[in-house]
Amino acid sequence: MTLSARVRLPQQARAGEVVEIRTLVSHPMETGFRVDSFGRRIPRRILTRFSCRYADRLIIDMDLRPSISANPYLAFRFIADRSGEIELRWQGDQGEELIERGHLEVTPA
Amino acid sequence: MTAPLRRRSLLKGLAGSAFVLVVPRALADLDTRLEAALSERFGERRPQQGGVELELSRLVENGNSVAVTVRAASGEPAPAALHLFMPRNPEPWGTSFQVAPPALAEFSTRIRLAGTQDVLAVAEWADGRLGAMAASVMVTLGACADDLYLEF
Repeated sequence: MTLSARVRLPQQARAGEVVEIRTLVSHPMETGFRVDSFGRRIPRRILTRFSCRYADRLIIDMDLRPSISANPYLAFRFIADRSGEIELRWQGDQGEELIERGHLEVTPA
Repeated sequence: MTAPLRRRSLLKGLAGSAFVLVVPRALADLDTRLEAALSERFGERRPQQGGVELELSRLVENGNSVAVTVRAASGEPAPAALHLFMPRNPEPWGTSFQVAPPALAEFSTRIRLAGTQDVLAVAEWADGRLGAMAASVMVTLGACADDLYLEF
């Protein structure tokens, strides 16, 4: 299954400004605790890790577990201190991976 | 009839030695499954009350998707990680959010809740200190209510 994400990345900010990233990935986050209508256990299939790099620094590294809802939503904020690439990465327990990239241009305050 | 006596002396022995509660009083009623999850992540360390804020609805209708925000309390130095625990879910450890500057120690996400429970947010500082805040949430329809939960 190919993953797809809806991401809101800031593109411009003033130095020192707090900017927000919001993400939504389509993924069932199947817990492995459910059974189907025949009583068979539905195998676990979850995203296990999300990370964010900003201007070559790892700023967020998050473990995801079955208690995170299907189609994981995540919003977080950071201080725009320099121009650079933003890289968002999701990894799943089936080896799947999704990377979204953007560029943040930071102008002097 | 030695069995009851033996049990009694065993209980006495346990009460006198191993079972020393190390959690703060306000968190003491959270159950043993949470204890196990905390031990797994933090070893012997246990959180003190405070230092982190947890925003959650008090009443939710659908446990499949519950909006939650966790942030370090204002005035605190920035923690290295924020954790979420759902003691009555099949797997109490929900997520761990490792954070480094210039990111702020704050995130919002959506979680599953298998039923009414006290969700626990834990902030972890680089020096090993832990702070916690619990929030009780009443869930009218738990996650996966349309399916049977397997024994866990």
